[in-house]
Amino acid sequence: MANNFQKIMEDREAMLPPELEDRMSQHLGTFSMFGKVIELFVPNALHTVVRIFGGEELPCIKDRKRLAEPAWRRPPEARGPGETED
Amino acid sequence: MKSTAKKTVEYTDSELIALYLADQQPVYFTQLYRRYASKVFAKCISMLADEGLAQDATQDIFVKIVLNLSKFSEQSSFSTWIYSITYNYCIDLIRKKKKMPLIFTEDMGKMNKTEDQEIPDSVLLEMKQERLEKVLDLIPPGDRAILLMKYTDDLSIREIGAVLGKTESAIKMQLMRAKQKVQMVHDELFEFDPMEGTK
Repeated sequence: MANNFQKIMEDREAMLPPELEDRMSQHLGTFSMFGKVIELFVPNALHTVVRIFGGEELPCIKDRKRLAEPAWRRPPEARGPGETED
Repeated sequence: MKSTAKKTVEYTDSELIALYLADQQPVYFTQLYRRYASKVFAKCISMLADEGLAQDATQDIFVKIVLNLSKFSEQSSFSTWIYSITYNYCIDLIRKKKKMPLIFTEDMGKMNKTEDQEIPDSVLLEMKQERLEKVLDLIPPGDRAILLMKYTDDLSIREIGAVLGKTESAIKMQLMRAKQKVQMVHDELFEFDPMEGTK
């Protein structure tokens, strides 16, 4: 059974305005979109900076480029181990 | 979308946190919000004594929770973690907005140190609800926070210490002073109440 402190809090909990959830949803939407934008552009931007300063191509981007093209379109030296023209 | 919303009700807090951190889907955090928003809001109203301020504080607290969700380590329960953020946010806000650096009776040093009598819990728990509400609004906010943590959230002395960043002995002393303060304010307000005829 609730004590008198808990009863006071129960009365106050009922005062929560429902529109606060909409405000929170807007914030969550913004955070989600911002996160996706960062996820999409930051790795490429960093990679560009690395290449400008003469750094090597990142292994993950190398792999991504390699997998984007089928083996038969790449020269033999650009093919991975076990990859054939077929 | 609707079927996902139905499912989220069944997830535990830890599952919802893991799913939100993995997918960043607002629906998971919205479920956590629905579970705790009213409790956080009630604490904010009790601490800040202003409905508008409490609404803004509730929103800010949940934004803080989203941004720090990855730091939640499950050393305590999720509810304790949320309440800890809530109480500390409100205490900071009171310090800043109301320019009140001393928020515990213990810090104010106004109590008579020789009268360290322990007030039994029953004195507070048997107080009339309307009276207790008035008394709580009149005691220092730090004392209010400790009493709410103890009697509303059922936190142990160790947990209250972890929330406020104080030692267990300091919390025991502050709890004792807070209870004394409640009784003092209650006696001042209702000592000559003819309706009740108490004291």
